[in-house]
Amino acid sequence: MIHERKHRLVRPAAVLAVLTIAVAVGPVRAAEPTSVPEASAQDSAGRTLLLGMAEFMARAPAMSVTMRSSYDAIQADGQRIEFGERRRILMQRPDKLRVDVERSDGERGTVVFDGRWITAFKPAENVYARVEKPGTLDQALVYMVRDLRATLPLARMFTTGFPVDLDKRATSVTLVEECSLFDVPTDHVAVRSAEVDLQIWIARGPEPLPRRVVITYKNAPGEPQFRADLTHWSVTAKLDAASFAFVPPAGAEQVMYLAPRPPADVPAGSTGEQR
Amino acid sequence: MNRHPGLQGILIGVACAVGLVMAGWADADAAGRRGGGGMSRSSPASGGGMSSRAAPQRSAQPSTRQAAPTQRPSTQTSRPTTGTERSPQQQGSTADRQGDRQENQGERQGNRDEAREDWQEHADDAREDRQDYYDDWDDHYYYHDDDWAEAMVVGVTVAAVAVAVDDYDDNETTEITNVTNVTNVTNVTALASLPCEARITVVNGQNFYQCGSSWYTRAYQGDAVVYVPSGPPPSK
Repeated sequence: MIHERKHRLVRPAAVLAVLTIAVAVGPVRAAEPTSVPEASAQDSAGRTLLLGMAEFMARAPAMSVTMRSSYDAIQADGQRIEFGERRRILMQRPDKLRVDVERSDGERGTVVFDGRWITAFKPAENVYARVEKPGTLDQALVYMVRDLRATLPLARMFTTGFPVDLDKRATSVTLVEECSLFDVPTDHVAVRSAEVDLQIWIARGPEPLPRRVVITYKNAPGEPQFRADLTHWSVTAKLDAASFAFVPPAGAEQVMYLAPRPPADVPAGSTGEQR
Repeated sequence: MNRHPGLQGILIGVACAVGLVMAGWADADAAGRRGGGGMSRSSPASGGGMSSRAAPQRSAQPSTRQAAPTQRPSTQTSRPTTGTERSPQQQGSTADRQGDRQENQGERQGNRDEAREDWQEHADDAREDRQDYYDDWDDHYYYHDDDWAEAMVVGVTVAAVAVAVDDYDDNETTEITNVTNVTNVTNVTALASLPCEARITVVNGQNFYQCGSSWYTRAYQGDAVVYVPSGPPPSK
């Protein structure tokens, strides 16, 4: 009897709640067209921040940063496993790069571009391989990632074409919020492109550098993510030249460098246009 | 004598357990701290690229491209037929002949247009492929593992070059510098690990790994050191 009474009481209450929500939501939906300019202003602010960051990075003569990254590997049975890496990146325009990496399983490696040679080194095996690729840092990055299949996360971010490229790819940009959880206040910007969803936390102030990047591969099975925290930024005029000179350790063996064959329509060795 | 035999047993047990754990750590370290879970590190997200195409979806297009050549011969064979048809009609009206010509011209024009469209489509596809290749250069996953079946050598060892030069004129290998870069379009089949517990022979600083009658040397592929079939070391 008591239960029945409760039911009788709950039903009118539920109906009332639904009506209340409907009444509350109604005006909001009706007001949507008027809120568009506000959303556009937010998008515009987000795009300005995003391109400001990209322009700042593209103009920097030299940069160094530590990237602590992780990514999801969706297993055959659907289980999501996270793997991690830490990189120290030194780059100097127009034609110098050094990346030291340590994977979560302890494997280490180094890649150096000195303006002419790309050298990859594995200390555990004391093995290195070199390929001659004279050119700019932009060209070397494209060659390393696309042709040599080297893993250099966020490589696009370190090219001079990044602002144009980002502007072209971003179908929508939204300023989410100001975030206070980093060493400096940051603007959290959400970007959508046809291929990925991107979130960037951009430092406020005279050096608008990314503090965190999250990429969601929404077209890939399981929608895996790549996440990177970027710390120890330094934007200087010049870095130590010795950092970009690879000297093989004693007893190191130089081995062949292999690259996958490019698609049939692309001539072998073609660097392509930088965008 | 021993007032606490139980305690002694516990201490021995703890010591053994610690020893076993330490041995386990040592083994794990020797194996490069790799886990034994057999989890794959492969992922579209591993490269942190800002482009990511879902999958190659042009498999249906070659059949479209092939349609043009098969249509063309049938068009060509239709021409003589039209010619032979014309001869009995030579006494016919000029208007008829003009009509035929116009019809044939129209047919040829249609075929040329079709061929041009097919070629245009092919060229557009090729351009699109090249553009994707250039635009999506950081799409680490798109042309994934299968492509390694057709690897090419873009940088070779000093030792290999040195051996070749030594054969010519006994030069010291130390004098050879900056002659190591070649692009060799020969297919190379790389192995992630050797098929046996190999015997290692070092020649001119280069390791040769022997498994039965097969020899392997090391190479760099992507971010990993792999093994590729080679001949025996130069002195063998």
